[in-house]
Amino acid sequence: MTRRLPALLAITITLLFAVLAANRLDWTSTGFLTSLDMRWLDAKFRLRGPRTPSQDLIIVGLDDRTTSQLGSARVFERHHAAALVDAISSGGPAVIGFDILYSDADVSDEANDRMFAEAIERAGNVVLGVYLDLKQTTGTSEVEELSPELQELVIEKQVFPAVRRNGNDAATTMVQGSDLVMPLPELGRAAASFGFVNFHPDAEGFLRHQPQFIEWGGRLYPSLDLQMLKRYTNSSSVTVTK
Amino acid sequence: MVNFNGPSNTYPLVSWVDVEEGRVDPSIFHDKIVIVGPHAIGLGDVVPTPFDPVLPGVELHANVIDNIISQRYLVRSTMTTMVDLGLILVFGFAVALYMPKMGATRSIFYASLAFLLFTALTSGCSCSSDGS
Repeated sequence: MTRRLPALLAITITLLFAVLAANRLDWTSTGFLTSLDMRWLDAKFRLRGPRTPSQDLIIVGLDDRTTSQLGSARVFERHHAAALVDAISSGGPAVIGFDILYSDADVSDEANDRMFAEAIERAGNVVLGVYLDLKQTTGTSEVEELSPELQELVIEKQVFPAVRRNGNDAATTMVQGSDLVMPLPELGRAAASFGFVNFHPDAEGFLRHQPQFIEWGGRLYPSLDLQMLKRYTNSSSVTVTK
Repeated sequence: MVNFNGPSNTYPLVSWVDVEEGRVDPSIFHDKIVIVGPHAIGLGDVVPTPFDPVLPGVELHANVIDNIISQRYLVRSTMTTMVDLGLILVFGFAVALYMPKMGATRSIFYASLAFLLFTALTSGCSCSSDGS
């Protein structure tokens, strides 16, 4: 019996781990094993190392040099944004996306907002960021009526927030939004489309998953990324299957 | 799951002020996906990620879009769970059967080997070669 003990022990431990693996680790929990699994994932990324990125992307950074020369983020005048859109647009980009929330009026001069809106309109392919306040829980919510203004906007900008089909598929709980922060109406109307720019860090505060749809009022809203891709695939010879 | 391509500055970056003031040739934007956003740690729009503890938010969006274009996103599917489960059982029983018959040194050697093998097999989803 004493000779068999290590073998029995090993089998017990094996079964224990098998049960753990079968009950998929829940990414929203703060458990020790989940945490370990996340760290392990990070280590695998670093082992693999960086990879060659797609050549289709280019970032225009609102960096330290920009804020020091044009004014800090708080008082940054929007005529700069108008000039930027015109400059980028002259090169013929497939799509321009703003990972910036323009929900309030320009503090120095409202004429700046008009200039920005006109530049956005001229470009015709600008996607603006919106922000969804998030609830702490995932789940499902009841379908609510859209306000007439939002209804008009989502149709015109082809956002089409989809209503979830009623079913008992437990795997489809979504990140829930509690409030939608839209861009300034003037800018929103001029833009080609809009998508959310939220981050969704996991329980440890790290970002490893990023939802591409957030449910708000029973409807699914797409991310800035998806809305940009939608423009991109329509306007270029590159095709994305699926 | 976001399949991160690297730390900050993995994607071509130009400065807003340079573009606005014409120091960047606009033709670089031709047919590109252009993302405009804060790219300074002081502006606070940063997220901690496996490669970079302070990845600017715009770069996260770049990674996500890139994943979708190149279809290299990571998915934890039922398949992954089944593979995990299968390997755990195989290795577990192998250990149970053979380990007691070995000496300590050989046990350590084979245990390390099993661990490496398990890692190599299960990380196929994130380490699989894709021609890049």
